[in-house]
Amino acid sequence: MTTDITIPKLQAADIPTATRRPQSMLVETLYNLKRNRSAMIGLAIISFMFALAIFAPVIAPYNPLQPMLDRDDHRGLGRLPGRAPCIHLLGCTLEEPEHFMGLDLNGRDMFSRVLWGARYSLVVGIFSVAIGITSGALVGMVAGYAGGWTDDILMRLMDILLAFPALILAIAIVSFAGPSLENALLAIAIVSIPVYARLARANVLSIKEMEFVTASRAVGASHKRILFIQIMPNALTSLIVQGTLDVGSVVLTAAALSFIGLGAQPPTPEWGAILSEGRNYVFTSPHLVFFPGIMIMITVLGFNLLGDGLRDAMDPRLNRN
Amino acid sequence: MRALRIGTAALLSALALGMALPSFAQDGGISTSEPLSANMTVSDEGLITYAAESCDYGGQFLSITALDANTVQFQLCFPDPALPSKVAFSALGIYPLEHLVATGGGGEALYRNPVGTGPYMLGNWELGSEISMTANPNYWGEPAHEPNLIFRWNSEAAARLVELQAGTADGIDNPGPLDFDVIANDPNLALFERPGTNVFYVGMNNTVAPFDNVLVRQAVAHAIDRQRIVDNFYPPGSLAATQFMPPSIFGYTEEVTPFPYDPDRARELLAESGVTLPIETTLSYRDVVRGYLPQPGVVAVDIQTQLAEVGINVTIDMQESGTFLDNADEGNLSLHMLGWGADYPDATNFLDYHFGAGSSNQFGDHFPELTSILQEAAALADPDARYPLYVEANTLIRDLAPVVPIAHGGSGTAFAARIEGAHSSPLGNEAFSVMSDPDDDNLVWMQNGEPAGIYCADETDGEALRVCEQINEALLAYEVGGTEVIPALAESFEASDDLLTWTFNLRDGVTFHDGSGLDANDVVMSYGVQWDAANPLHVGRDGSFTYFQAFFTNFLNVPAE
Repeated sequence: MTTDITIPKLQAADIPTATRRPQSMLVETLYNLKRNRSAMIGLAIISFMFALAIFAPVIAPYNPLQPMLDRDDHRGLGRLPGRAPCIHLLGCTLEEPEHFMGLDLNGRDMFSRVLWGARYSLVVGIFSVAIGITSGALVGMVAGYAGGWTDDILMRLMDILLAFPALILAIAIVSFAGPSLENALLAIAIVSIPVYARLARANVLSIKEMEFVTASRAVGASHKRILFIQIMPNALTSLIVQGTLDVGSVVLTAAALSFIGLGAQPPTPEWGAILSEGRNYVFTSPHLVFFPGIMIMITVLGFNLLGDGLRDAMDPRLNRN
Repeated sequence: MRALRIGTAALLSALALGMALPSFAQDGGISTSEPLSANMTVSDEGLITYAAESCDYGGQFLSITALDANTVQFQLCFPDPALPSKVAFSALGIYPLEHLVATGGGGEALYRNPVGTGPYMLGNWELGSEISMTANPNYWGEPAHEPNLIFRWNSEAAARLVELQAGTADGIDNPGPLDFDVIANDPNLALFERPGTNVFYVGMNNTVAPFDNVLVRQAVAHAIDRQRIVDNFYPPGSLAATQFMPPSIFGYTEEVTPFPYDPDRARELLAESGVTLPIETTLSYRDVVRGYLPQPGVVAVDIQTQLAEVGINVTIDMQESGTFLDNADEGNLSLHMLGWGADYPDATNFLDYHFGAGSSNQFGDHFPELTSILQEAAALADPDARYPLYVEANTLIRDLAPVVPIAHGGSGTAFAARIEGAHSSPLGNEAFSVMSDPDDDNLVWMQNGEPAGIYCADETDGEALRVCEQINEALLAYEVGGTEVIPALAESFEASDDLLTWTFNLRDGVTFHDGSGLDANDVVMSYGVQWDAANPLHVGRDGSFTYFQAFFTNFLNVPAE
């Protein structure tokens, strides 16, 4: 007697999810990230802000540095500085030129300035973090890999830097170097170095004891090769997550420095500087502080949401699969 | 006639300080033959005379003499019709001789602890917070209506207005330009506009390139649209400046017209000047609101924008107020924004202070042709003779262009509507003793900033002068809310026909806050310690005594550099 044995055809849906899980960490992270709604909102916000920054010259209706005071189409409108927003759809008369966010105290179009402000704020945020990560990673990896007195000296220097409140240290650095957006960027980068250095060192200390590193060492690989080719790629992941989380606070710090006059200098339309210019008129002309303030808030929120999502996505303990 | 008082405190203090001082005899006279200065003598009756050997030292005073206990005589080297206006100014307040001696003429004991004769006495100065004063129960005139007066400060116009609206301040200085309508439309508040007896200007230093080139300075004058600045950044009542003094001040002339706003002409002048374009320079200013400049940062940006149109790229440099003023006086600033509010209503207050022989290096080297005209005009009593000289001086200022006068800023004060006697003064010296708050015993005033010191012989900041004006008094005063000179510690004065001899008759029964009585020696020494740079009491807060030098051209015994 023969028995037909039918082997059911394996359907994709029948394969346990675990067997479909992507193998690459990057793909796995993206997969997890995509399932995180908050992170996606953060990503959307950041993408929107980047779009504004990139296309500001096209979108902005006016030159952000040019007052409307002498323009023919603004004559006869009365006092222009600090003028409230005029949106035709919301009832502003058609005779009056449209200014979505009103005019600032110098009679410049706030919408154009806020759009251009995205460029400065995002550039400061991204570059400060990039410089901080690069420098901090270098210091941390060298300290962690070399150990001994090199580790002691480098990390004690980092501890000294870390002992100062970040904003106070940034203010001190900019006060010494002179107020400018470039110096503010560098100051923020410098104060963030110890955070990345400690993180990188901790990663290196655990990775350098792993078998693949021992194996490399056994076959005679150079220190340089081991450190930069084998350890670094594995140590960078958490730095990138930390960096993403930090961009928001860097944007905030840069705005704070500009607010107190140590960052962007007039007439640069950086959000903190715009906020500072209007702070005296918060009750009589609230649009002067509302729009730059809301842009700072949204941007920081976006980076924080994305950063939190990235952290969750890369944390195996929080893996929901 | 009142007798000179016994000054044992002064003697003891002087001995403690190791200084040679007139000693006060028990009979009330001064009998020492070892005075403070070689230029000071004390008569057998104890009357002090301060005298220069001659007028060669370049200053205005020849001598200051206590003729008797209540008569002081000034001998001048050249006539000065504006002298009554000058002696009414708060930098020339009268102090008790003993207090000057006891404090060594300076230090915190003096500039944080003034003793005067005014309607209010200093109560407590909580640094960084407030200055409280109490009514002087022995005031010689009409006593202060309100028992307590408190000065607070906040540099933000919005914050001052919020305090006023919340009722935590009864009056505020300098509302923001955009707040004028808000205050005017609030039935709980009262707005008092101040006419623009001031000038806001852009100054240039003729010793710093490229502003050492008169064509560049003239180009700057052509490049700035004054009217646009006034129309957009100043409150109602402000005027575009045509010259370095407002229309309400004697010496103003309509015969001088400013360089018109003409960017094309500015570019031509820059091309003629031969300087390399674009010019890169720095525009310095202090972020301090004054009646002449209600929005410093905003105006700086507009000037930056306007100058960029003609090829002058400006980096804006905001400095701390004290540092900025010091840098300006020392001639360290190439291009800067500053202003001047009238201390007394005469051309000398504007022109001599800035361009006279005793002026600072704010605009670099002095212009001799201008200095000599000003000196000649200041010495004339006849307004008809002075006027053409001021026409000439204002024309020279325009052509030499060390400054570009921009605006005469209207400003104001705002009070709670219930405050009786509230007002604003064109000179910025509001008299709080005539105000009262029916709701309580405190009058709280909020101004822009905290004074650095309140020994006003050595202060120039209006924030300090206003405090001094409540505590200290000068020989004469300005009427409340006006500019007319009225008697104060001197109930009358006479001038000789040649205006070289001025005699002031002191009021009887005036006592200082420390209980001592006013006499002529107090007047001589209050002036003497400012006048004589070699006097050991010529100390002050930073020792500059700027107003005295500006008013009277030079100090006595200036040390050789």
